[in-house]
Amino acid sequence: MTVSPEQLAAYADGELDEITAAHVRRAIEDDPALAQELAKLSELRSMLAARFDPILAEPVPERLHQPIKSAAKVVNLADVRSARQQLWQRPQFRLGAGAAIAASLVVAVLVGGRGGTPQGYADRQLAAALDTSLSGETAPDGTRMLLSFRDSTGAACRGYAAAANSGIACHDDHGWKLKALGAAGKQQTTQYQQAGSPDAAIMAAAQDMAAGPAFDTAAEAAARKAGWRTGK
Amino acid sequence: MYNDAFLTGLTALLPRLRRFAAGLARDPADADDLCQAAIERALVSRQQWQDGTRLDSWMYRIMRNIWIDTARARTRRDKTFAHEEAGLTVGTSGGQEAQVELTMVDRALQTLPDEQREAVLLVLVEGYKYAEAAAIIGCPIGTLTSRLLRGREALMVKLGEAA
Repeated sequence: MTVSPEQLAAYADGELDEITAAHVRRAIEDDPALAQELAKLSELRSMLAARFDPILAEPVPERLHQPIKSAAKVVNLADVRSARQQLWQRPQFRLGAGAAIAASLVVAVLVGGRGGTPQGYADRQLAAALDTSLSGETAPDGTRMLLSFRDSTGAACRGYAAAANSGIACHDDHGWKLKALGAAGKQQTTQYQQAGSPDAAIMAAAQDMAAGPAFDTAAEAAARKAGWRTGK
Repeated sequence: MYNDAFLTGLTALLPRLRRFAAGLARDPADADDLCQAAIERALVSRQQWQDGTRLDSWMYRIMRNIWIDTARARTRRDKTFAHEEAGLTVGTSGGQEAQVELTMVDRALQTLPDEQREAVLLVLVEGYKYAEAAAIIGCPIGTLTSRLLRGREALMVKLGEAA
């Protein structure tokens, strides 16, 4: 019988049924040229294996474990906080595992004050956005408000994403204290990074900090009217 | 490792996902970014994974789809897409910048059209059966085998020249 290139390749790949495979095997025995072709096929497999299989033995970079660890953490938090079902029912929080992408977030980073603002507090421009914009709105400077909530001390806190960075700020007597700082809202991304990860990171951090559900529209408006005072 | 079969399974797959990404990514320096994007998308979409079905095929499909989407976006953006005659120089500039050395196999793979490249990787490197590879790509088996054949022949010619 004649053996087509397709058949020979399928033979090399172990994809032929037994009868056809037996035919091909006999043809190879009778035809040195065919045997040589088969050897080339198997050589290609070996070259590919030599290039790619060593990767299996390499240590996996921590940054690939990180999103999975964060997802596990979110799952555990969900168990612990089952009493706080409300929090998880908020649409903002229902990013679920997406919110777990907290890898780029640095919690409690202090940044130098600019323009006369105290160390570790939002500068005037950011403070203005935090004071006035409601969640879902974009301030004139491009800062987007993601959500508002109260932390365990009752302070009003807000997650935001600005051009320079994203973060969480909580209001106290001195202004908006920066509690967490993440990547830029419009960070330089490599081609495979998904847009929106910084937001997800903020959501995940907010989940950890929040003492209760995120504010709904009415609660947020009320908090703004009250000057973001610490409350219950 | 995790008290969660999905997360444990995903973790166990990481070395294989890195291998697949290394073959797909045009610039080897991008391989782990592709991997990370696939993991993140999988975590977001885990509701779509059906318990009892193969997590590996599902993950490969996610990664492959991200890679295809990215390739399309890049092709639109980058009109200086490499031509056949660019041969061995294809992809080397990015690799040098990232100080990643391209092997002969990498260069030969980079001359393949995407559809042949993924067929070669899924069957010859990842060891999937034709039917499984076709399911991951979402094409008929006959399409897969003809892409595989053409890709394999082109690679043998390229690597035969090099040897």
